Amino acid sequence: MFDQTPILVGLEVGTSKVCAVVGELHGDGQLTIIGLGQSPSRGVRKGEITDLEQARLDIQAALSEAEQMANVEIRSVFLGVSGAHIRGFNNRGVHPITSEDHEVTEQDVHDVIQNAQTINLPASHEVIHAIRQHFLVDGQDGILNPVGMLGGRLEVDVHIIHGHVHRLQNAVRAVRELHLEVEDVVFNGLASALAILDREQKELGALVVDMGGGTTDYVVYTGGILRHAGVLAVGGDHLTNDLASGLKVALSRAEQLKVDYGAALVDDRIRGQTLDLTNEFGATLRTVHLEHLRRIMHLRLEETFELVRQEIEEAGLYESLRAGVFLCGGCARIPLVSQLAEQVFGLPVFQGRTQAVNGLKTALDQPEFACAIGLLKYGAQRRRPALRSRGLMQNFTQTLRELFFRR
Amino acid sequence: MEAPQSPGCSRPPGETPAHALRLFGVGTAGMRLLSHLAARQALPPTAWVVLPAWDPMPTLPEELRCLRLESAARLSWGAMGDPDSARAMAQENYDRLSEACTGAEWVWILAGLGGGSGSGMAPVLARAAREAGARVIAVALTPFQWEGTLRHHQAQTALEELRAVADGLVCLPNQKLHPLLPQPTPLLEAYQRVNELLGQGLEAFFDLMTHRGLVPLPLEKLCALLRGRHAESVLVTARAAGADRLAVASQALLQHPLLEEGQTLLAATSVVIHVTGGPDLAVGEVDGLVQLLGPRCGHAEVLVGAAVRPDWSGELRVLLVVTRRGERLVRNGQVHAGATAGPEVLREVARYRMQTIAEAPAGGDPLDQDCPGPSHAAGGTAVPNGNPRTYAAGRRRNPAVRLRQGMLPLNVLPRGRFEKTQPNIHRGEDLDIPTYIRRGIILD
Repeated sequence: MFDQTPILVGLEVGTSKVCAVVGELHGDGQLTIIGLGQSPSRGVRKGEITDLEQARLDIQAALSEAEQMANVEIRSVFLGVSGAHIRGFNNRGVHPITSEDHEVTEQDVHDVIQNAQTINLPASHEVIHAIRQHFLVDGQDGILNPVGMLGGRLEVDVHIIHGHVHRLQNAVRAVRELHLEVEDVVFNGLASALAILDREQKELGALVVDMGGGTTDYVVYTGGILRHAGVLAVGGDHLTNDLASGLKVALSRAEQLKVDYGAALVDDRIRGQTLDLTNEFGATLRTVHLEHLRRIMHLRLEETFELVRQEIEEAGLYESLRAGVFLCGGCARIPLVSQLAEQVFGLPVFQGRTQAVNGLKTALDQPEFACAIGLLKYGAQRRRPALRSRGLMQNFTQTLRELFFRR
Repeated sequence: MEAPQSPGCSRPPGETPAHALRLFGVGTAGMRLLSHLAARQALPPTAWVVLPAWDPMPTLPEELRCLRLESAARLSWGAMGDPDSARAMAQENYDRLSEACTGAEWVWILAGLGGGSGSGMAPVLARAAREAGARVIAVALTPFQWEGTLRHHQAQTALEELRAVADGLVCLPNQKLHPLLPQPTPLLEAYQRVNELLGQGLEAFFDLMTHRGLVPLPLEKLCALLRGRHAESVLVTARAAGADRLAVASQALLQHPLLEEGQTLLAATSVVIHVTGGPDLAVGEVDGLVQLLGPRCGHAEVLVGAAVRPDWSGELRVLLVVTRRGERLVRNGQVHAGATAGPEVLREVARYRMQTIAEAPAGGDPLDQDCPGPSHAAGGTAVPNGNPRTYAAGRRRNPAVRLRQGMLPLNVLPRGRFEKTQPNIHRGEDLDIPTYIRRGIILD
């Protein structure tokens, strides 16, 4: 009678492409991907929207393609955001338990998380995520769920990911102008990590590096919780730009050369090899050295990985990455990039594969769709509590609470 | 003729030199290298070997003094190869180490990293020497790749520690020397051969440091090049004899694995070219080498020196000391290098002026005057009047006088498609500018 499988849509407005993924959430929490739409992106630089009108058109194109494929009507999306303005840091919230029996209630948990979010951010920044890590009851560490425990003082460690209000709102606005609802704004790196890592890898400690067109987002999980997140505004676009500048060719030609002949390491065998650049009639215009092309790419990629490693080391998390490094995003497709990352990080490096999602095989194996699929997983996690069967009274109180405590 | 300079060069022989140079070999590798050098009679006057108590007492040549560290705690055999226990032991003997360094102006530490004693004790010794008032140059050997990741990791950690403590670091990676070994080298011989190769390099290096050449490079100036936190240097030597020695030596230099096909030279901030030959050393040879290497050195400051030895007829030895300074040095310039960099630049300007004004052959010796070290180390003795032509040729081609305007951050770098976007500043670097440009790599 009633269709109990709500539709979820993940929308990633990236620097090189806009990508929309439509998923179906089943009652048992299983997620199936039923549609995928993408469009080249023209209004985005380094992860941030620079041309709102152009971005709106591209989003529209991607969404309508996804709608057609999935045969659904899209009303709301989970929107992925990135950009150099996004930062992450750890914070702690405190809340005294004032009830007579000193029992921690759900309300206390809610309050303490709220407290942890009240932080001293610049006025132009807002919190995107406050991800809880551990609870502490009277100083006792490592508590995952304190509800029902006894104590006088409840604390929580959260990882706050925040970004510039206006730049975040630009993306939201582009979507709202298409008369769509934005259910939530999600940091791209977090979404990619959700798509790629399974529980065991999060537990062991893993670094996810999502190297896309305009930004490199990285997220560290250890002990099952998110520890560190950050963005470098360097991506595949920079590779293209470096090539254009170093080989003195046009950007479009540089992009083509990158895709056709690029690699992350300089091989001994390519010494002395040259490439002929031809015009549209096939006549040779000039030749470039393959070694130069590779060296330019190698230097940029190596530097980017080194910067990520520096950040992780400064956060004191390098030693705890026992599951290794997971690469995704368009740059994960560059040949030999895993070997380069292995050299830089000194850890096992894997190509990120999307976990525990059904459907569209072609979409799942592509590293560049990890983020969009992760957005779906994030959405599924957000929605799942609402699907749990509850009593009528509970449902009513829950609705009331949501009414009053919505942000 | 050159005489052992023993850096305080112009003093009467009986007096102790003001800035004595002491050489320490730490651990087994350090000891072996020192013994090797002692066998070739290439040691500076004071050389010590620092060994932990758990190593069996070696038979050392007479020139070497041995400093054995002892520990109150009983250590099991398992403590060998563990840098932590070696470090603890060195800490325990800290007073003895600083005592050994007292009075020295320059302390050179020679250590093989990767094992226990070298990795653990060298940084402590470096700290002790610094606190005793000496300037420390560490010469570190890193292990072969096939020695395993543990040793490699330990070596990297120790290298970082040394870099933080020492005034200058000369890094000699064994792995890079691998291609120089004849192909089927038995494992047992590999270290011996590498020691020989390193020994040649170090011998040339100590020669440069302790002997006054025909075209001299003042010790203070050399040390100023090596000095500075995070400065990292490599030594490259080539030796040839016979009629075509210039060609052979050039070939060997260009193909030397430590130069990584010229990348090392391009990234360098300073390059010292030192040529040693017999009395028949020709101007054309020095000139040829500088012509060959100069254009390959990018923005680096190039210093040229030459020395003549009477018994080296028909031979030629070239030593390159290639120094690269990390980005951190540049950024913390005011903190660490400020004291040296400021006067150095002034001195360069002063020298430049002096040379342009007084280009006349009016006695004097600008090269010697331009380094007024605190104790006028290089001043005093006149240049040996052996061959003024060679000297003049060497000096004119000495591009150290070049004012390095290219390094100023004023020139506009291309940002391509990111021209109109916000600069992407991360740790003081604009990431939108292509990496190869920021690293100074030139694609020909």
